[in-house]
Amino acid sequence: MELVYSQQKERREVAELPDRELAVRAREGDMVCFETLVTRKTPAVVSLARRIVGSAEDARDVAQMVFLRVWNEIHRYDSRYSLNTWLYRIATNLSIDFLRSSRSRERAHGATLHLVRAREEATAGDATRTAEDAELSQLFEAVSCRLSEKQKAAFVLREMQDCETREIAEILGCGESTVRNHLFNARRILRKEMERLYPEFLRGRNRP
Amino acid sequence: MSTPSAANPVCAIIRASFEPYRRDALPSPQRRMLREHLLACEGCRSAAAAEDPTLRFARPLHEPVSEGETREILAAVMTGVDLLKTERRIRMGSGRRARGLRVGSAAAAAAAAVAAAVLVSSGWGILQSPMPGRAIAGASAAAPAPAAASAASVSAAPASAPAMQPAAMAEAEPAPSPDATVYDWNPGAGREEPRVVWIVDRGLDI
Repeated sequence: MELVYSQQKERREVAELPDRELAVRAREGDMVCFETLVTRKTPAVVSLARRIVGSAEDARDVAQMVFLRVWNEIHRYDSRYSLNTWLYRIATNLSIDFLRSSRSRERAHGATLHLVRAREEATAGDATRTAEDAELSQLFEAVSCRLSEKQKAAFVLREMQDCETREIAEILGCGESTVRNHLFNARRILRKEMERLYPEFLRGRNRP
Repeated sequence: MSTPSAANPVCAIIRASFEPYRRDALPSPQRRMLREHLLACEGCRSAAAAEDPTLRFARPLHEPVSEGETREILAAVMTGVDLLKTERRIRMGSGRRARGLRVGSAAAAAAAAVAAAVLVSSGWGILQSPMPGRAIAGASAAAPAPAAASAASVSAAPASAPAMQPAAMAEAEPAPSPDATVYDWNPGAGREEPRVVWIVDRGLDI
């Protein structure tokens, strides 16, 4: 009984530690810290992966891969830098890899699968989501198909995760000017796609 | 929630910032302020969407992850971690075995090299008759022993012996070692044939 109490107390104390401290302790082999890190970062990682891979179910698979990679590579984490940048880098790279492999899979099996899955997810997930978020999420999924993986990742990181350009450059492993270029092109393509797919939505643009 | 009003000074500032925001030229504090304002002010949200529909995405879009889902992900990750740990242990075990073999073969090679050096430096004049039993045991591990390949001293094959002798070592002063034994598996081999010589120097036991 006392042991259970002390474990709970330890978990409570660990839960209050900042990200960096958790990562440092996890690097030293503290599994409670690692578990806390996984629990704390799961929503952010799933959100990021979801926007890039486009499916909630796949995003959860990617999140598992991300945390496994984190555990495997934690010795490489440099605590002078932000944990989020390192984590987002892993998550973005794995999401892009996943997207590439799933695109090739879907080319092989036909695009119907994606449509069926998207509809299933829309009905299952929307109940727990606010209406506006759900609408935006679906809109983004529909119009972001023509973005390259890097453009999509840059846009998601900038707009939805609110990362700095410098941070995105680190995550994507490119220069800040390249990130700005990705963002500029992503906006242009998204605008075009919205005009093509949702003209009725854009008709309201010139309303007073 | 604010009402749509461009007359509101804050709304006016925010709307003037749409253009630099799109160019990614807005400093972080203003950028954050704009995003927060857009979340709260429906009027500015509409104005932003009217100016550039992609500005509708300028907000955190969090994927709802329930506690149950987080627990499932955590459980899957911890199972994966256990597998990775097991894999590491197996790899480390086989690594140790491989390292053991490498160390063993390196020691054997070093011993053979030292033995050969001593033997060569002694001018091949220290050879004894081998013990046939041992030679065959050694040969059966390395290569099938031909019937004619009875152990013989190198001196029994003078034609091929000089060919094996490195030039630099050939000049060394002889230092006879009474313990060295040479097992020569093809004493009659010519220059074109491979020559297999097993040298054992009991004086160099390590």
